[in-house]
Amino acid sequence: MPADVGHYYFNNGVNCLFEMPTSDARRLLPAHLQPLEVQHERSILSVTAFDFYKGDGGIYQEAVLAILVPPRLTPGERLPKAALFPFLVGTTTEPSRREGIDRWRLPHLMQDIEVTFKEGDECIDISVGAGGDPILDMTATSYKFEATEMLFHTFMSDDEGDFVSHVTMEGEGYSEHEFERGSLTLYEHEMTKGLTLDEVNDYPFREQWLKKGVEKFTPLRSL
Amino acid sequence: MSVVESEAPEDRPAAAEGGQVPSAMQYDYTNFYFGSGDDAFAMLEPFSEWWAESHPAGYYLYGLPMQGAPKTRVDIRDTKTGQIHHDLLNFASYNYLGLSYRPEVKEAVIEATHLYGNGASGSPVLSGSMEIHYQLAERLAVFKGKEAVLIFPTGYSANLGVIAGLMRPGDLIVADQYAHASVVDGMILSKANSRFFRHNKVEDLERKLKRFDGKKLVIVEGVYSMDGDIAVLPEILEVSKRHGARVLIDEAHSTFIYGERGRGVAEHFGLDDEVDIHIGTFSKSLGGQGGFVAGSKALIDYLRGFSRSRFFSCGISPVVAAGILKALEIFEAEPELRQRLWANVEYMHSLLNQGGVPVGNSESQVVPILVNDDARVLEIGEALMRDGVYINPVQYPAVPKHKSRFRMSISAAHSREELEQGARIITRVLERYGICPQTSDTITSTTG
Repeated sequence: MPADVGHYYFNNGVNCLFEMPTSDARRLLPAHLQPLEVQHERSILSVTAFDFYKGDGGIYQEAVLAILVPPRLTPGERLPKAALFPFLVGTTTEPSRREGIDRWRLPHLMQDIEVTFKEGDECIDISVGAGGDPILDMTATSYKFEATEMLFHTFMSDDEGDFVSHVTMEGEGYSEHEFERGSLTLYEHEMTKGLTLDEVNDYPFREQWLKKGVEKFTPLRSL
Repeated sequence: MSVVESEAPEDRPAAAEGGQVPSAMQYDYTNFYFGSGDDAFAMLEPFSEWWAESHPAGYYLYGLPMQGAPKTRVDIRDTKTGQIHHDLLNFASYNYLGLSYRPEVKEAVIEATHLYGNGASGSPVLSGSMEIHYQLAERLAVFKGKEAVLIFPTGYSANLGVIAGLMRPGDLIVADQYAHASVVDGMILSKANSRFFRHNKVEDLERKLKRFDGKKLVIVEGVYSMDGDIAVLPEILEVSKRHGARVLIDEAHSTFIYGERGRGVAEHFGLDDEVDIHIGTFSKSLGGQGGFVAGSKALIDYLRGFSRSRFFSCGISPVVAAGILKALEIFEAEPELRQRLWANVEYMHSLLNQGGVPVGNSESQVVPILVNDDARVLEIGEALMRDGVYINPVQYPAVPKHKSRFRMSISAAHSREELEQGARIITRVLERYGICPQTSDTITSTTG
């Protein structure tokens, strides 16, 4: 793969982790993956929004709903920060959707979404909708911003098999905390239909915000 | 909070000063919770490698051998160097009323040893109940103002046995998110539907309760052990009762401390009779070991048959029971003990406040010293010990990220001079690390 392929540059990458029912998480995961639990019967919903300005998908915004799972560790390899299985991705453009499906085998909402980022003092409001219908509103708050480089294991599954990519997130300013200051409102929508909305916490237990960053995928590896 | 993810060393901030943080210290227990492979021992070797490096680098501060009773000044063996740190100010032990080493308690223990020997030598439902156990249970029931009490080998087993003994698959248990691990484990063992509500947020509790029909149990603590704040019990009871839920309060850190007679936070709010199940321990204020549940006779009779953590454990040692019984007698005969504790709590809070030491929302004898620096809390713990204070660090994942702290326990046995000296040392060390402002010289005493 050429050096810059699989690299996606963004202004803001915002991620919050919320408790959700393990019963829902199990339904959303393929059989070979188990959800991590943050508490008994409470798994972890990861909600991420990006505004990409450069990369193979062009300029677009993206919302990713994922479940946190145990990483696949290999002796001698670097430990990842976390591992996740994206169960639905929404993007604002058709080319970026095709890129996500064809190259990375990520399940997508098959219509364009709208994502807005509204940055305030020490917080950022994100609204996701499609065709005028709301999907989610999320607010994340900041702590101290420091340069970072983090490794994640991202799992994908489709009709042709199960895969993993090692995804590196780099950026000039990364903030992470567990002060429970953010919020989430989920709406009934095709994108959220796998979730029992009332059972997802409306506040995150962890808030992560990466500014001026790049997301780098390694080529998919079959499991 | 249980373990949710692993974290690479690159992801943690480096120490700003005070030397390089050793690489092992940038990992924590969470890295060794899950691992791939088919061998159940797969994580042992990586953990051992990490432990070999991280233990001397800071983790050795946990479980250091004390050389005598948990008095206000203690000698501690440093397992890294082998040396004994003498005469450290002890703010780590639970011994809130200083009863564990009282001469009368030791005499009672010795006398019971002559009568009963060491152990109970049986389950309490079989041969492991001795006269002293009955005496203790009856005396406790009178103290708590309840019909009956059931004694457990530990506080952990009390929560485990009561929760799993009462609730069944299909029922609903809703606990405060900061509830103790024994509550969480009891919930897991019961196989009931389990939910956690945001700490002390009754709106979230109601949200969880109102969607469920069937048997419901709400669980809170009197004093929360990592933050030292107390349950907003009136609001919690109102919501719980409105939704038909029974309420359990774990008063491990509040029995013998809160309330007019020392029954706990429920009594403090005048709601003792509204709470259905009262859990307590002997290891905190009474300086012994074990736990208990107090409630109606019907509740206790039922739990006697269905609390497996008690049913299938040996009864608490009669020697320990005798010590607890004597400690309870002293507690009831000397109300000034509790008065002294509260005076000490107020005084220490004021000293720490003068020094600008962040203590969160604590209003009790449990005082979190908030360091909020996960990478350096153990390093600061070493500095405190070098300067003469023994106090336990608490770090992620026991508390959320960036919320590392020391958990200070204040005792009635501390003298004013000891509190002042402790506050000065803590403030001075935290100043060095930039955690509180340069104010230690301004701490003023009232003892002259």
